[in-house]
Amino acid sequence: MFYDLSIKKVSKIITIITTIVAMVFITIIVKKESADFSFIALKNYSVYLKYKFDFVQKNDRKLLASVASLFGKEKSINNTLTNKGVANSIPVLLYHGIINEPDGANVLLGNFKNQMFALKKAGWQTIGIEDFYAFMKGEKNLPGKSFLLTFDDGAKNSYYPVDPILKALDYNAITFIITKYSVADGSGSGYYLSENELKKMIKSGRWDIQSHSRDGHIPYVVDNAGTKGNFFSNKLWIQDVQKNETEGEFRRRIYNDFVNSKNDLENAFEKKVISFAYPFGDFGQNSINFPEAENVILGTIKSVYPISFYQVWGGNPRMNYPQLNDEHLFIKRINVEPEWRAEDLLVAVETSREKDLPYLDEFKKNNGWIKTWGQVEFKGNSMAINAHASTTGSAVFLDGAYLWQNYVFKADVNLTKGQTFSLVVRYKDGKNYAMCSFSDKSIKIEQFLNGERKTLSELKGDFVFIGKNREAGIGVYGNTVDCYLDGSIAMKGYNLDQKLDHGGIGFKTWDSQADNSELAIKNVSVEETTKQEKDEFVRLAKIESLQENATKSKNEAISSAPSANKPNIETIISQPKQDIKPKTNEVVVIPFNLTDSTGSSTPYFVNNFSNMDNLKKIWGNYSIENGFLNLNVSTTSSSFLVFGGTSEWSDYLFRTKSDWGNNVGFSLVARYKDSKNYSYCSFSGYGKYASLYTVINGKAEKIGKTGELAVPYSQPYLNVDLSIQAKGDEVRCFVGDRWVLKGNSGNIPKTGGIGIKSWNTGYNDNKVAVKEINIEEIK
Amino acid sequence: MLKNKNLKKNNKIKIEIILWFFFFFLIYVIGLMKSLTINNFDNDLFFRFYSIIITTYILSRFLFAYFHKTPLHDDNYQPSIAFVVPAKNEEDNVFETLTKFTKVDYPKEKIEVIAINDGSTDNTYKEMLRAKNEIQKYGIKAEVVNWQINKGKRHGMAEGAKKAKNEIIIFIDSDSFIERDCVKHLVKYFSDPIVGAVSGHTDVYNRDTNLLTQMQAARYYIAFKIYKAAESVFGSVTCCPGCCSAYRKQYLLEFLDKWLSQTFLGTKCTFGDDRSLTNFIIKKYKAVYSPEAKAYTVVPDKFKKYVKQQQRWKKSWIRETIIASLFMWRKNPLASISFYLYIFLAFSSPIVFFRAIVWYPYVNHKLPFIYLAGLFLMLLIHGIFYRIEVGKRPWVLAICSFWFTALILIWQLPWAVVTIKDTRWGTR
Repeated sequence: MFYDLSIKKVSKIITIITTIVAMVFITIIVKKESADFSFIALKNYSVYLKYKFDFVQKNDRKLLASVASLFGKEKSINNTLTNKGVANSIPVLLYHGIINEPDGANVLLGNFKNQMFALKKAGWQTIGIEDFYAFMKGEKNLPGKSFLLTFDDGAKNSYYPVDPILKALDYNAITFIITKYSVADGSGSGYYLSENELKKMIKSGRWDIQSHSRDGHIPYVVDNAGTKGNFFSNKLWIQDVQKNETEGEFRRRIYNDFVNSKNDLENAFEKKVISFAYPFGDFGQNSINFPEAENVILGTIKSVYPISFYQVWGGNPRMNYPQLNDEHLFIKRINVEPEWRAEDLLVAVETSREKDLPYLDEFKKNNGWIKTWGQVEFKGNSMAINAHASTTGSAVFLDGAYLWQNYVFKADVNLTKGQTFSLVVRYKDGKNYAMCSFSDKSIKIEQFLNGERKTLSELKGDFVFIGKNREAGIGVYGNTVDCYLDGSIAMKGYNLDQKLDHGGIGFKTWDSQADNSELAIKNVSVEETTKQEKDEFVRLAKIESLQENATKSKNEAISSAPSANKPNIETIISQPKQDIKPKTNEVVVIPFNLTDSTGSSTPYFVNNFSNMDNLKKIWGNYSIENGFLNLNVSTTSSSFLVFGGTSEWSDYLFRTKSDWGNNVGFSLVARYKDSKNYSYCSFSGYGKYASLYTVINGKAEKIGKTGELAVPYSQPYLNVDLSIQAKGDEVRCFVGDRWVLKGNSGNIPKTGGIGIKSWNTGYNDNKVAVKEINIEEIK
Repeated sequence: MLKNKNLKKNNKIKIEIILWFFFFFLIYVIGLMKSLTINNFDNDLFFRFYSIIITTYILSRFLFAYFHKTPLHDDNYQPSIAFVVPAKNEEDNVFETLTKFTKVDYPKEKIEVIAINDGSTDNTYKEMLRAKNEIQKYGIKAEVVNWQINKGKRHGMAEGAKKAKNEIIIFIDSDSFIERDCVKHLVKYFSDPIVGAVSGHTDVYNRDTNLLTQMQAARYYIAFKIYKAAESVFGSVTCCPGCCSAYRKQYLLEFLDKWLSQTFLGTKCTFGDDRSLTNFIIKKYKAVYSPEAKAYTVVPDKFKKYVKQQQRWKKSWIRETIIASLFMWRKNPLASISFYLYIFLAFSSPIVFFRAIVWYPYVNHKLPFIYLAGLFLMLLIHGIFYRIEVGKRPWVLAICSFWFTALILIWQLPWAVVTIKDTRWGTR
């Protein structure tokens, strides 16, 4: 052996070795966390650089740009260009841990990274909870593609693999901490983040800490048999006294946990905590033994937290819209499922964004239709919903239509199987909406309010839907609902509950047997209803008679689907306003009737022209201001306006009240068949002079004239009262109540509508403001 | 002048102290890192084991080398020595090499020189004769053996050993040079009868030629000062290099013929002569390392030549290690454990490397941070040591290129295994 174990050498070595080993030990024991943390932070730094490089390279594809990105703020990471507009709604995403091996519950790192990259590329940017709160209260605008990124449970694997990605993309996130594991007692068990780690996370500026309860993340015994249930939604079983807690005790217990977890966090981190995420997303809806739990929870939590988060499911819109008036914000989160790839998540958030009207859907892809019942399938540019083995029907709604208010929703449908199909409007959630339900024996207007079903109107009849392509529709304005079939309004309902004042669209099917209903849908179109149309409907409602006792009437409307199977409806079918912008120049107008089915007079009276849409300009110019119909006259042209829907009239008195400008002439037209066949009374000087003309085959002939007539002394130009009457072959002109002129002509049209004309008698542009018209039938 | 010198010396000492501190700090960091990450291996036992083993092994080499004994030279013990120099086509160097022996600090009458011309096609023989004349002027016995046909280095060495009349045979390569006191430090170990061979400390003569030679200089230095010294503590140096090593003639003759006729896998061995010879010695006796016996050798300055040389060395390593592993277990437990561990590490390193650099990033899309950090720290430790020992030199570059080359050539060992039967790349 050739060693030299002199004391000097040995002692030197022993000293050195013991020092080093001791240092290592001390470092680990005392500062293991920091050492761990710093070490991992160092490691993560290289990972962060790699992610940044990856992201830029994916999008820029230029190596130089990618390398440059490692050293500074990278342009493509700043996505203000793609994140345009202002948000109507905000999605909240929920993750738990991010893992490397699939476990069926958590999201894999590869998927998570791709999802974050895809969101960033599409322009989505994270926001903080304060901004979120301000948005929800209507106090702040946020960019169009803002979202909240949240992680529950505060496990180490919800931070370490995630942080480098957030750093690379300039994202921030909120982590909901179970204070029992991370703060209160055992600070830093191997699985959950410790207080020190959380402090460092907050310091980085990328993480915010909120509450996920203190004791509420494990199951507790809820009955004698030892059944376990969730902390927040059940009355716990108290072993000592052998009974369940009372409601008061329940309330106190959950209140204490809300407060304790909040205090734990605020004391440890000196930050305000304003939100709470329900463990397991259970806010009482999954209660085993306490059905009122939901109410109690919501009542209790609002005194502790302004915001609480739950996981949205099934038939509910996924986004959060401002809730200006709610005391407590109850916020939906989208739980990102492990099987979702990046495209799935991107589609989910993009299709849930609020959609503008008009909306057209040709089902080339799924634009946000969410199934709430049964099955939905997309193929061949159509959507098919059907019941399956365990449901008697199916239902689907369109997400991102939450703010729609007044609209007409139409679709081409084919009920291949089943008894009923419905078109849904004002869909707020699975328990609040209205619909038109079509079945072979009836068309019904129904509403669901907080889950309670009520029929508003019902029309009985014989309809055939099975196997036929029909166009069904539903229009909603204020609290009126119209059901459309093949282009015409089939029936109306008026008393939709005020609470159902906005919401989107959907479809339903139903059959008394399970697995026996199916609806094929193509070409959905939704168009906004303006006030003009609304007034028109209201007007129509006054005039028309509804279900029961209808008389047949000719349908002048252009039907979109002339069906041989015209239902034997005993109502007046009127042509609904098809388009706000007419496809052709012909304005298709509803014919107005001067008498109702019983023969009693229904005068056509208008004193507010704001929503008149049956005005047809023959020439000249008109405008509608302050509800008055202004016929413009200029030095170069006159104006001639007729009223659509009046051409069926024969014997009537057409009376007007108007304000005249200077030097205008004004004529009232009756028996207008077309621009070459009508008669008219022509007035000038506020009614001082009147003449009677006929126009037959384009040839005008004066058949009467008055001398100077008396007009009011003061303000004769205001409220000028003039009329024209047609009866049989005779036409009379009235000033006020007296007729001043009459004439006969066998050639004037036997039926015809009304119109007005004006012309200039002076040198300046002027107008006649028609304030009121009234037409009554003359017997 | 003196003041300047003192100042410089003080600075040097200060720097050394700082460097030593840094050296131990690095060990601390490594210790910390291993302790922290040992649980983080989201994979199996094998890599965890490897990680611990390699760190322990390397640090143990430093530790053992630290305790290596360097006995004082004893004027009373001065055995007769014989320089044996086989050469083929070395007309440039051989005169220099041979006449250098006259400068050796040792009683002239105890020296003899035997040069063997192994079938040279140039003027090597002439040069040898010229050198012989020169040497004899100093009273040193000299002899030249002339072979018309090349027989191989092994035969040349054996011939020299047989022909020598003196006790201690010192093999010197024809392109190597020794320091004046090299012999003194070589022979002093032979006073212990158990010692059969002594390896000198070899430095790179053409260090400053280029980066490749700088890198080799660092490598040689560390390989001798740390690794060979660690082996020497137990007297089981596995390779006394042919450029400068001493053997006890009496022990040599016991197995000279066996060594000459050594075959492996059916073919005669024509390379790895020095390693093979050492193996015969340590089987029965001990081989040690003398850090004070300095010699210089010339290393390849072209990469291609270097690769060939390394490939040759790997093959001889494999062969001799197999042979040694048959009896090493009988030796001192610390020595044998080190020996077998080294085999394990040598074969696992390529696997671990491949997994870390290729497989891991491909599967996990992450850099193998822990592996690279560990590798870097280890290399830094070697580098700092080198810097402390040899003073100002481009040590960083040397160490980095060593790292780089080692990684590039990591395939050589597996490849050597595959081509073990191919004896084309024989010695020169």
